[in-house]
Amino acid sequence: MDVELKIENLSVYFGQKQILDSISFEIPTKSITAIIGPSGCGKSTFLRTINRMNDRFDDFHSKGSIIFDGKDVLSADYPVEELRRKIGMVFQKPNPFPKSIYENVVFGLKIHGVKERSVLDEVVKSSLEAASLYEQVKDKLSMNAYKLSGGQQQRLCIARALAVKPEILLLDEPTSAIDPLAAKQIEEVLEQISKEITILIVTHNIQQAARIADYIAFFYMGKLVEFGKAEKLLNAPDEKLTDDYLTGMYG
Amino acid sequence: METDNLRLSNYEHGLDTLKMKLNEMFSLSLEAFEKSSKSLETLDAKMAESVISGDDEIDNLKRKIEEIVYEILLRFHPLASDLRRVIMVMKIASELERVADQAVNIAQVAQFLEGKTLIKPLVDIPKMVQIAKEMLRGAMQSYFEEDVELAKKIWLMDDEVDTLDRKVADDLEEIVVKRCSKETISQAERLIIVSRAIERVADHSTNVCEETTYMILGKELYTLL
Repeated sequence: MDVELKIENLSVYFGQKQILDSISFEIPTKSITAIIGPSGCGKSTFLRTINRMNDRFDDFHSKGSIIFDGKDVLSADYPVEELRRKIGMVFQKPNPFPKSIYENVVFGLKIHGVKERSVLDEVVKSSLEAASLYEQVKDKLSMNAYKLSGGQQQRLCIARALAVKPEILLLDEPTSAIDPLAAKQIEEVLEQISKEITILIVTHNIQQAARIADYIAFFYMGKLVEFGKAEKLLNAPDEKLTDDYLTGMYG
Repeated sequence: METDNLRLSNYEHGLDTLKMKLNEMFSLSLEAFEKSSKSLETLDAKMAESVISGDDEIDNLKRKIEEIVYEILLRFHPLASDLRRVIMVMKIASELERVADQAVNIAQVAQFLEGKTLIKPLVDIPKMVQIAKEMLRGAMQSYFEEDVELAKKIWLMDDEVDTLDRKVADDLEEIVVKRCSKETISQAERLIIVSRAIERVADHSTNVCEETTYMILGKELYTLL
């Protein structure tokens, strides 16, 4: 198992309040790792800590490290812009820019100085194809992205994230705001792109984790209770707390 | 509680219904095994016939259990120990259905032997039946009471049955060599079928022990010995 991210003793605080408590585990490369747990267990905070989305909060601070490509992404001298190119993020609600489909996809590339039209055209095509959206929008790339359906907008956001060729994609409940059919399409996209990049997804939907995850991490009250292969964790977890969570849904 | 056409209201209701059906299936399978061995010892073809004709009811119960399992999986998507509990009911139901099939095999031999003088008095076969019955009862008790220690104890009894099975085969082989008649060979062949059938009942009981242990702990029984 090749390791993409190594989480070492990670604790996260907002002011005095501790949100994550000594999290340590290794995220395997080119696979889907789902993070599950009840609301408030720290799973979204964990995801946002990985690409430094919490830095903007004054009272945020952390201990421990997240090792990526041999470097600690939490160290002050790690360039955040480069980090966010290598580790992309997709959020719960689709958040396309109020621009054309084409401009949405190339947005990151333009920020990084890519201007050559043929390069941009090629990236738009390949990114939209990877997100299973190209066939539906290829004749209307100049259309405003807001005119797409919710599911299509979310796939556009995935295409936008893929356009800058990230090594890791973080997704925070990416299908909770869209209908089941659109969610299924996104799950298929994730399974497909996980052959090339590492995916870390926070989900409340255990069945979704069961469908797409190779590995699952179960968080509870800021702690990592258990991490392991999805089939093993969902069928015969080692920890009683995991079993209680997975079986308590019918109580 | 009649479950046909009754929509399961929740996971616990579904599991309770399954356990009730499994208990019913256990009683019928054990009874079939007891009656088949009794029919062999007394060479009672009528009793043997009742075992054979009763097999359909056991098969139907297994199908009903499978239907309920599918319904639970569809409606409630159980996970972890809940999932193991549901899946293991289906596996144990298969073991019981096969126990009943072995009872039919024994009953058919009893029918064949009725009115005949046996080539050898039944000594080891009744011993095997006693142990296999104890194993089947113990295995199912370990399931219903979720008792891993009992499952381990029962699992270890299988060697006794295997040893007796080999002894029966050796003894019959010796008789066939000594008295090489068509009748001797014919009876020996069938008594080996009986011995093997009882040995399989013991094997199904050890399977129930393994399935019960995995259901409770999520671990294989052999790793605990």
